[in-house]
Amino acid sequence: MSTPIDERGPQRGRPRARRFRAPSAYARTGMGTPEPHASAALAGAAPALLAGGGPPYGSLRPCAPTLPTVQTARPLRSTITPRIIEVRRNILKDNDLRARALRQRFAAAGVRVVSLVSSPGSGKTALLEALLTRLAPAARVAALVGDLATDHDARRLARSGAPVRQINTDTLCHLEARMIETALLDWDLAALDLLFIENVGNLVCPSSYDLGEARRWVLSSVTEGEDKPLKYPTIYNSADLAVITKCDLAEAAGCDLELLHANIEAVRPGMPVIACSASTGAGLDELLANLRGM
Amino acid sequence: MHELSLAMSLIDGVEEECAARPGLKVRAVHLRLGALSGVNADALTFSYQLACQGTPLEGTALVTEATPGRELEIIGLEAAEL
Repeated sequence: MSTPIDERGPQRGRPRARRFRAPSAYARTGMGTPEPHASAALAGAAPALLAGGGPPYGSLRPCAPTLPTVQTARPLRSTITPRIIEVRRNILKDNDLRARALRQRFAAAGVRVVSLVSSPGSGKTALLEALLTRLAPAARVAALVGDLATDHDARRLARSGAPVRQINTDTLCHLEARMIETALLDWDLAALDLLFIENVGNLVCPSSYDLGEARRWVLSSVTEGEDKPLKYPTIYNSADLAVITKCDLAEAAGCDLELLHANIEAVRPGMPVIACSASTGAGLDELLANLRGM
Repeated sequence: MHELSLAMSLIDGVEEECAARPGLKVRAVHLRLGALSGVNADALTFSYQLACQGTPLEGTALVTEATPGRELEIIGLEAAEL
């Protein structure tokens, strides 16, 4: 083990020194703090190793990444059988209760609510802009739009003439029911027929948060590749309709639309799929018909 | 971030359950975690440890049971020995 290292001459300590810094580099990501004793053990072991003594290098490896230490949250086992009190409690309870109350309010006011989820840049805002522009003159339609920062989307959507409100989540990666509650505080729901909620661009976390919507649309653009549904099945499982966006770019992006359809079907059998393009207007009539059928 | 807010909801839930059972000292929280819940067990365990700090639940363990559905629920509180 020590022979090849010694052959590197004066440079021999460098590769190993990089390995020894791994725990602090890991700590900088904010995911965890290495245990002090682990770093101390590494620091103490390094000179011994360089001097050719001490244990072989391989024996230090278990100390380097600290991830396992934060995961092993096991209860201490005693010889007495632990007393377990049975409870049944949904963790999302608070959000679920708020979402249920919202859903009841929406139903009572006769407003149909559709939320849009997708990765950033899939075309949620472009699609909403196209739909609002077509709907706003006649229908009583409004939109809430979520982003970490800026009111760019709200300004963009407001050009349609529909009432629009921006929700800034600051650092949060998804919208929650209480944010919808707050955003609707001074809105008269009875004056609306249709409300869109554009979630933060994210294919992971929004799947766990019910916003009280009647329908959830998951968008996938042709530039994202056909396997998006396979890679992010959870969000597809939480949705009611899949919308393929930017269809005018399918050929240029080399997107196999049939394969994309098949992948959506594989993840969520039976879910309706509508292909559209906000820029050419293709498929928008089909989406509007879907909204009327709600 | 997502798991951290879930961990905080989890702790609120456990604290409410504890409030309904005076004298109960919890050693571990048992959780059922569905494959379709969108939650990673390791990330949730890590967030739980962070979110527990400074609460009566500090030092308690989180035991997760993997299930195939959408479950995300507390199923048991393991009491500490007296």
